[in-house]
Amino acid sequence: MNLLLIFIGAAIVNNFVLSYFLGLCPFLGVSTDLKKATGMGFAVIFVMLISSAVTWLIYYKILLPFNLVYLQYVAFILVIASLVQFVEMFLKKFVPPLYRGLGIYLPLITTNCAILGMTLFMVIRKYNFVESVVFSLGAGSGFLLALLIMSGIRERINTSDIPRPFRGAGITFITAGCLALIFMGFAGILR
Amino acid sequence: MKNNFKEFVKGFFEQNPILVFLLGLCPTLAVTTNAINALTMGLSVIFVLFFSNLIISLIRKMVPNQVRIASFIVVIATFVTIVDIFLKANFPSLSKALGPFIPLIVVNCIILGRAEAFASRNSVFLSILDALGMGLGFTITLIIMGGIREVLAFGTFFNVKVTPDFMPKFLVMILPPGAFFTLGILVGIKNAVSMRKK
Amino acid sequence: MKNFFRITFFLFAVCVVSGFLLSFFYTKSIDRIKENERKTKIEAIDKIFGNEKVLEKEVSGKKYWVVGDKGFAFEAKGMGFQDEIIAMIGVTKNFEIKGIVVLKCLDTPGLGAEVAGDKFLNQFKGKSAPFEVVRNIASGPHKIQAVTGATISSKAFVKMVNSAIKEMKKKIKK
Repeated sequence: MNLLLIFIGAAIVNNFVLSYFLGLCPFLGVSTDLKKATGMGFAVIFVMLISSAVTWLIYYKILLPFNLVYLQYVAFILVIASLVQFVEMFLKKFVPPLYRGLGIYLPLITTNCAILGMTLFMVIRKYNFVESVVFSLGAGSGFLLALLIMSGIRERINTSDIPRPFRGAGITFITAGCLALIFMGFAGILR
Repeated sequence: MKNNFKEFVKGFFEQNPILVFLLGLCPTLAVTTNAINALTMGLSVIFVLFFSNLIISLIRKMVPNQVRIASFIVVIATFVTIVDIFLKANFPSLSKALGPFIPLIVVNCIILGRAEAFASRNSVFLSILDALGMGLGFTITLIIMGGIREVLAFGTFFNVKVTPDFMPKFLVMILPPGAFFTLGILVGIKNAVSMRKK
Repeated sequence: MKNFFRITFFLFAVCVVSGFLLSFFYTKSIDRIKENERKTKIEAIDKIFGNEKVLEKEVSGKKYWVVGDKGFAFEAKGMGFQDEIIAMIGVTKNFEIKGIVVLKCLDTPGLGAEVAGDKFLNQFKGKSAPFEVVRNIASGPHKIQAVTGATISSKAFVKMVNSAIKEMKKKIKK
């Protein structure tokens, strides 16, 4: 039950993109069409799952016992960066079809704040190993969900008549604002 | 001299990192619930940007190309941790209010972006100018956003009351949707001004 | 192969320098950080009880502070709507609430964060656990009125206070 709450909390109620503003750069960049959005979303879920497991182990089995918590940020970002690179090489060699689908999005993920943000929240909230993995899955799914909804809306916006200064980024932010307003309505679920 | 000045002021408006390049959006939206948080975040980013640009332009000729990004990120993360420790030691309440958004400066695209696009190609002096200009442009935009949201939601600016009593308080401005609306409208205004200039 | 060593060495060197720099800053600031934490706690206790002599004690792994002969104070931690909430609870010897001060709360400013405001916290004064959240005006010895628009934060906060008091009662009795 608790795990379900963590999942729904991360995916919908406190959606990473719409209520923590994490991962906005790719959110704006690839939400222009549905296909790119799907690819990016799944790539993020994939990397999040692995990095939550690895950073959890590093934090609780290495940094905490040796009293090195102040190296947390350096360690986490290095892990994420090298993990992304490693996943990229692994997929290229062993699962080429998946690589063709996700490959071009992987390098962009290193600087996706959603990943680092997820690992930091995981530590702040003192989740145990299973909870952390579920949390990362929820966060990733929430990212995918927001990306899909947004790209669907943007494909329609493209054909409508918008005042010139607001074309592109301006109208996208305002749309995202409306989406965030809608997602706030889900807050009651967590009771 | 004129050229140097140009490198410095370009971040204020023409190449504003937030409104034009849409970089560093995560802190922009998350911490601008009031002007003080915005100022703290802005100063932290200036500090990190200054030192990371400085160090990276110093070592730019030594860095092997294959580990360029990894080394840059380690440099940035180091300075971010220093800011974090400094805030915890000297301004504990601010550090609590900003929470995980200080460590998230590590992945703030402005810093890695400037390191990649500018500091790794230019001299130390120009890189410092670039860092200060971009950092100030970022900070000013943050304060404008934080100010607008704080005034509309609480009727205060830097905790000083500025609006008359009959003004209603728009709480939505402090919530996530308010952040998106404010930024969307600011981007629109910036574009409108730029278009008129041409 | 030469290149391989060069790359490894460079990245290694960067990490070592960064590690040294950070441990230097950390060891310099750690005392100050700990002092700050202690100070905010003592300040919170002073705010609840007025300036009294405070004595730090520990019972089965949980710290608490004895305040003169007026009562004692202890910390409560729990999950709010978005993030962890930490509060200092001051009680008399019969576990009647003397006052509560919120040490950390990152819920939505203006809504959830109002659980840290006086209007909400003053309701606890003079009452004793277990508390119950109600939406309309609270009447009765255990009722607490929720912050408007922040029922979730209010409920989480009250739940946290209840369980902290329960735990403390058990430990003190021993």
